[in-house]
Amino acid sequence: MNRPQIRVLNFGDGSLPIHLDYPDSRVFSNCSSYGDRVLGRNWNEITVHHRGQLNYLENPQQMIMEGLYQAVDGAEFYPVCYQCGSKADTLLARNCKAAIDNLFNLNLTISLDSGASIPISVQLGVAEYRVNQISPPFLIARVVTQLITRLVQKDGVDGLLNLDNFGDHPEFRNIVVSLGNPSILMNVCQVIRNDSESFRVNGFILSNNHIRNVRPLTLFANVDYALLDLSGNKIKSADRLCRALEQFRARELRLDKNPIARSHQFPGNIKSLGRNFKVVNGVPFDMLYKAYSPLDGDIDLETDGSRLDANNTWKVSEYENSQDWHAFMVPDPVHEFSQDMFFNFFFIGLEPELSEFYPCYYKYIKTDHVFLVRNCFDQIANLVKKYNLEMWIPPGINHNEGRMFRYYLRMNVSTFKQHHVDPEQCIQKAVQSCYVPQNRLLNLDRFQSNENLQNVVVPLSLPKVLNHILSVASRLFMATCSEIRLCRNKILNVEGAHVLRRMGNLRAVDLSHNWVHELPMITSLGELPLKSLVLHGNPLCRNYSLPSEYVRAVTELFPQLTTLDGVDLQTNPGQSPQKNFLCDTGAYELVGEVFLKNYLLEFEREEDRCNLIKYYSADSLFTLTCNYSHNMVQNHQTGQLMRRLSAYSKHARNLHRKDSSNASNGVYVGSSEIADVLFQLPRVSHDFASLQTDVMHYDGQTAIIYVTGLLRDEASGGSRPIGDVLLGFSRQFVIKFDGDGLGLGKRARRLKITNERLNIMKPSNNMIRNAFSVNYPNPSERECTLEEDSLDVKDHKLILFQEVTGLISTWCTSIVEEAEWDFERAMKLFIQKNEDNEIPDLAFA
Amino acid sequence: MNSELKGKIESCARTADTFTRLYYASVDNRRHQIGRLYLDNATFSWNGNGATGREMIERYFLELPTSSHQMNTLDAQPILDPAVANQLTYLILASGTVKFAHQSIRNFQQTFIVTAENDKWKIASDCYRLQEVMV
Repeated sequence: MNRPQIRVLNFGDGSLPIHLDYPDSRVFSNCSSYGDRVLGRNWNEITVHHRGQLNYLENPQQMIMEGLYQAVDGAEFYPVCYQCGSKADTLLARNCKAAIDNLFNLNLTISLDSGASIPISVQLGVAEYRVNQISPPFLIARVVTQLITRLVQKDGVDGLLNLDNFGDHPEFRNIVVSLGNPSILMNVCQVIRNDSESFRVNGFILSNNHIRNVRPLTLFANVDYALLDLSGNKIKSADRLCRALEQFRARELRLDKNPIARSHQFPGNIKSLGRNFKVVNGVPFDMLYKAYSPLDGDIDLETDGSRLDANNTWKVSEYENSQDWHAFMVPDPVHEFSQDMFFNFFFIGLEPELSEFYPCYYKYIKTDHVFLVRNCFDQIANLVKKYNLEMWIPPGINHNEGRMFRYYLRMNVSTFKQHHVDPEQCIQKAVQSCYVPQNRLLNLDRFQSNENLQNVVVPLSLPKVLNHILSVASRLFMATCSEIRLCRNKILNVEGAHVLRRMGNLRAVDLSHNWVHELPMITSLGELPLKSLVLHGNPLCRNYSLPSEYVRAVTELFPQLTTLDGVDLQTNPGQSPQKNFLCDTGAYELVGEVFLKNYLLEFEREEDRCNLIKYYSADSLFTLTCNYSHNMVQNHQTGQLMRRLSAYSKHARNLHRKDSSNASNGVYVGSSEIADVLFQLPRVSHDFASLQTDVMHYDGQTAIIYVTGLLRDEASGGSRPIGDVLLGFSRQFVIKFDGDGLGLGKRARRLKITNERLNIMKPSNNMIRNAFSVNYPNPSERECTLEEDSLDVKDHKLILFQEVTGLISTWCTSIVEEAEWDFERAMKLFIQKNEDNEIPDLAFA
Repeated sequence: MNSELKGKIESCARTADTFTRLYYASVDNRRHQIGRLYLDNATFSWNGNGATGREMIERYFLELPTSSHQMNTLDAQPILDPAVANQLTYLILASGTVKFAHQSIRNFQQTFIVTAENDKWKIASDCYRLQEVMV
């Protein structure tokens, strides 16, 4: 084996260099004993032969070190001079007999979290130990002692020993330190306990250290600390955690971003710690079990606080400086409005110039919409002064005339407690969670549905609130973000886009499906060097009768744009394709759940197709055309493809250049004839992202809907050899409604198809390339079972595939990806390719 | 199928054939006259770009590059719904290939609703789609 020549490692930190001269040439690998060799005080070299298989992992070194720590099983082990190589990583360690014994016990093989086994080799006594050489335990002790003299403050608690991401401390550049190894954590804890200043420590920040086991914390038993922050670690076992912390007491425990906090048993499985900690992850211990709301018991809306209504509005000034919660009580005895609708109307009354307004803990209680607010006195005063505490419901909402809802408040219903929701913090967290670093994208699409905003309503229709969100975003992602998506946020106008100028790389803004009525409402975006803007789905688009006028108007305001609504402006303006056309917004629901989407879903599988019969009557007409003939395909599969298409073409007709006296052939009349044809058609899946819809007519009684897109023919049986077939399709429906006023809400209508056409076409190359490329959130259960593999699972599959096939990683990845991460399919593909001699010898490791 | 329906389907097929021939001849060669084929309040969608009313539709056509259509599939159905029963109305689908000036040949499909007005067939709605993908 190739061995490096004599090397001298000089760390330049004042320690004596290490002279690597390898006096003992024996390299141990794949064995369980080092025989007659004796482990002295000298340096040993450990080589981890990963053969480049881990290169696709985010942090291979971390993975390997975790594997090593697992293998040494808690024994002392302080690696020095970790060097990454393309095939193998090496490190030095001394004074670690127990650790090396444990490695030999495992036959010199370590297992990684991902499931892979990696061989290691060990060479003993590679360099002589001399006093004053680098000493990890010494360095660690020095850093810990230093940190004890520099205790920090966090969230208003001071005296905290900050060991966050301890291994990354600059002092540790030549050694590997991870508190994930219990022996190192133990060492650190001992240093702390033995430090004369340790009585000053009021809490521990141990976040982001890959810690699995906190047993060493038993050293700090029976002291009352303020905080134990264990967030961002790898704590999984509740049982071990509870035992380790049995005697540990602190006011707050943080466990977020640990596997344990994501488990279903959480927080029930840490119940036994209830006496040790008052607060866990910012929530009082006894409130952990349910989503906490002060409206569930803490606040009594009958007696707490004092009532403010139209009769005592003069009292409002008493609350000018109140920091407490105020409850809005808006009566709606029949629960006519959903939360969403209710807030749409409520926010109309808010004054854009005044404070930000964040309703918290919304709940419909008995007969009222109830929510809490704080720190927005000017808005409340305005609602009193300008509207006398009445909410205006515009006409057309179940009533022909506008209505007034009179409501009242209960002021100062509760003081603010630390575990109460803080809109500011929620927004910060929510914005942070929306960033996709790989794409440099801040995706605030439907911001309100972010899980961090469960208890807070963030009305982006208020310019001040929007500006606030944008400035939070620009502070957080100043240099990195290049695209912001703000779709579906009820945004009325964008006034303060200048705050985004801090984002030097921002080039694209997506404002689609908002409530912008006129272009001047978004002029402030003109201050940004945007290349791409998406505005479709806003009322302003209706101000232009021709697309070219629209494009002209937008480019006048944003002359530097190259893309508008996803369409390249350099090409023919106004003729660029739009995905969907609606002649009437009332028809919107028809292309969604009410008809089209359900129809297509029910058509997909033979067993669901019987549900379609309800749409047809005795007079319904159905015809089919197949615009895909053998002269369009010229390859070895033509025959098989034509056999597959015959499922359609045998029912198809074509009037082009035909004698019209046979025209009634191929016209199917009435539900039974139509159902008969539908049942004979192959099973398909629609690429819902590919659909383009046109609603050409809608008047409440009838509707005309067209859809075109891509489907995958998944016919089973003898025609399988060419697998699934991608086909272009279009459907044309003429629909009529009857039986108005059905169902509970009296809004349901029966819907019948009077005319239907299905057209099968050859898909364009572009369509095939983009087929099923978007993971469409599909409501059918089938999608639920097809959960995307997590990255870990994917890693595991890759490693497994590599082990089985012996292929190099690029080939592994390409085949497994081609098989859509289905391991069985990947294996078949591999065997097939190998038989067809498609895999070069180079591809094998 | 009864003979009345059969007769309706046959005359619908004849109309579809003559009408589409007239239509593509107008679009490709006599663009300025295309407005005559539309009802005053016709609805029009060209690759999802909408226009309403004859005048708007005419203006839209004038902005399009010159075209040459080759139809290869045609289908038509009479709309029998009582709501339009007193007025003959047909659903027509035509598809084939098209070449716009300076562009490559592409597949197109076009769906018309045509209706009889004063002995003339007029388009009530017209939906044109070139085959391309958008995601």
